[in-house]
Amino acid sequence: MDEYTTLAIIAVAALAHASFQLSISMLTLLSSHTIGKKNTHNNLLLRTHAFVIGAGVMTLLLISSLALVLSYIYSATATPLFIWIIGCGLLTGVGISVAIFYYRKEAGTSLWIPRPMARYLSSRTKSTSSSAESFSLGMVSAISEILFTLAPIFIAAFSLVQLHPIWQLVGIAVYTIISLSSLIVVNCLISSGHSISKVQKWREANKRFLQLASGALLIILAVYIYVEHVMLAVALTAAGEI
Amino acid sequence: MDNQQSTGVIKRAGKRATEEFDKNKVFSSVQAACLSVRSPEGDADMIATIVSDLVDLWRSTRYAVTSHDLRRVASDHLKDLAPEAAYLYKHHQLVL
Amino acid sequence: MARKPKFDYNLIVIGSGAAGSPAASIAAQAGKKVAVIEKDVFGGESPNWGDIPIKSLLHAAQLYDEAKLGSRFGIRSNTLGYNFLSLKKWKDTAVRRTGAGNNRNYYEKQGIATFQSPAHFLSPHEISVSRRHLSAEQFLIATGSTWAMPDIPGIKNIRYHTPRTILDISRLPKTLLVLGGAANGLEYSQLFASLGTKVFIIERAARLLPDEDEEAGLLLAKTLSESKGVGVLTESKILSLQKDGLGNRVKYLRGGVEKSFRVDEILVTTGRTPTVDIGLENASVAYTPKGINVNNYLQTSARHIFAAGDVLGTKKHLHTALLESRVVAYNLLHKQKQAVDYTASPNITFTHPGVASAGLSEDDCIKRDLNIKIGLAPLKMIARSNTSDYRDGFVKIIARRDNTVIGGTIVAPHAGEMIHEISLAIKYELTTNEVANTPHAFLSWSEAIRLAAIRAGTG
Repeated sequence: MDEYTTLAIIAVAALAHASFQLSISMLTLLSSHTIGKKNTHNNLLLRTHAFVIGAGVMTLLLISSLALVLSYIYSATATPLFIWIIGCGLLTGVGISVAIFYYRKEAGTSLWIPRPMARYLSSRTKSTSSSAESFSLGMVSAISEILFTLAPIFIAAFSLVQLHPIWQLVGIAVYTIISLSSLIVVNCLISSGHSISKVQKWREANKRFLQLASGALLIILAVYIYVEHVMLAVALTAAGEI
Repeated sequence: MDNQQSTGVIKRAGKRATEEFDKNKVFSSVQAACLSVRSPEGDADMIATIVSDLVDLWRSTRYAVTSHDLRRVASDHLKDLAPEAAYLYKHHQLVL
Repeated sequence: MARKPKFDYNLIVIGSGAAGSPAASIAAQAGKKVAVIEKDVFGGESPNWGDIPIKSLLHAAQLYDEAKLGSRFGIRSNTLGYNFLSLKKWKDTAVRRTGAGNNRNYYEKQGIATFQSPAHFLSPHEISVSRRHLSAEQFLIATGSTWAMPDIPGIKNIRYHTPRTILDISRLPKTLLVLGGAANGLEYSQLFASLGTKVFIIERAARLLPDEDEEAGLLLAKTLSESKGVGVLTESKILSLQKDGLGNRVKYLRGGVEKSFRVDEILVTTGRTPTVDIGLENASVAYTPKGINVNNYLQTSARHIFAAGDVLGTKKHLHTALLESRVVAYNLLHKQKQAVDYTASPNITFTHPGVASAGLSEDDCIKRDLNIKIGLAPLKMIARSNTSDYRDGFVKIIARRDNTVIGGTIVAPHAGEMIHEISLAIKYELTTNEVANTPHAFLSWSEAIRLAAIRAGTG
């Protein structure tokens, strides 16, 4: 597989990551609390930017560490077929879960995360009063959604280890930037003076579409990888070419 | 029963009233909601005063309510005065 | 094994009116520990300021009316008069005699605990009452409804009455505006018009009694305007209400023309709002401002909580609330639940002549595209109209093509009594032949029912 195809897989995985909403919800809450406490616009910018950077840093760390771990496994095993199958399974499972019950049935954009966890994150967001705290909050938001983001990160990380080291850096940058794209968009909207309620209303009005799109993207990625890496390898083995 | 009637506020998952109704809390939360949608401070104060007065009037006929009730009544009144702020106020706990 | 939770009561009934009282009594007689919560006057609306007071006054007013017109029968009525305060005393006597009005003892004698306080749900099994929290295994919400203030410019700045307050006035108004041309509005209009008040009725719909048969509404309008001098203003919209000295100025729009007039008092009967602000969200009970949602067994979305009566938001009479209360009591006490059967429940307007209907109306059948037969019998065709000297009015029976009776409307002096024959026919799916072949006494108003049945059968 060439570098561009691999980067494309990483980009699609990152796009799926970007469609998850926990970080965006926390950014919305953070902005709303910051403005509500009569903070200056500069403070708002500092905190929201710090949040986005924190989320980005954690995402970068996650994908890098997972790629490192996988690189040991990859070099140790004869064939990565088993790893690709795990990845496809993860993607399919997460894709179906997201498509079916990512959001709770009630109004708003409540996610299927444990309520005590949601309450804790909300109260932490409400009491954030400095950009350093916002940075940590951003990192926490990236970790909190690991159950859903693990699948695309896994696939992206395993795709990375097949690349030349220079291309690996490019891959990590692509993944991090694309996965942050939705956060960056929302941050830009809020920083430029858009109403938070309008942003939130849009999210609520389109949540089902986003949910289906997310799930579909993950499943499509899984199918592609399965066909490209697993079925092709099996076919070649059967034909005696491996 | 006048507005001096004290009303217990039962917090989420609680069984007995955990605190007495405090009008200032309603005022602060409504004010924050209005400010978060970038309403001018004067407007936010005025709206928060009206809404907290109306909530106070509503609860004065009850001996115990839940925090959810107060939020619902406040957002119903806020909807007429500041629809954008009311949306955020109502969905505040439904964002995450 | 999990222990069954302990509750203070087996059943708590919120509301002591017609929808709550029977269920409380039945459950108490079955040995359940029951409590009734009432925030207002025990007994609810009907005995205290609803059906009993108005119907007792209507009876007196009708006697006065009949006596005034007695000269055609050779009765002298030169010195006929009435005393308004004495009329009110009679009304209070009637209320007191029901035993249900403001009578907390009625419940306590049955071993039912009573609390006079607003109730508010705190959780699915707990309510706040006074300074106490009470818990129950099951609940019945029978909080009824209140008269709604219509959205008319200026109404908040004037003094107006609802049926709850109008009978407390100390003297008769010279002029009265009644907003709403449905049953309630017409009953009060007739009452005050009979006692000498100049009454105006304003109704948005094209006729009075818009939910009844068209001919019934038109006949009532004719009767009220010709014999009582009531100003019937249908297809009219009130533009504003303003204070005008001690009275009120009413501006309205009719036929594209704006007009105004002055009245002493205004009575609003245009609609009711179910009382649902009792913390239903805390109990996970689904509702809208128009009423609580229930299934056929009157269970709300929280299966251990039932609701009955006006709080459901559908147009109801007292007998329907009583029926629902009894069904709830049955469902509380039995595993196998019973659905409410509203078939043939009559609607009655206690004017003179009375208007009563049951089952489907002609309009209903047209909307549903049903193939029907109609039998119309004007009252002047029967002997009783001669001996009572009353010739207006009619009986209409609606039947399917196979002659099964499915609806009926009566406009007659005793419509409220007569309608039960048609209700029986509808409920037990009798045919027009079966109704017609049942002996009807000569000189009874019910002869018109037989005649209408014959005409429907041959239609």
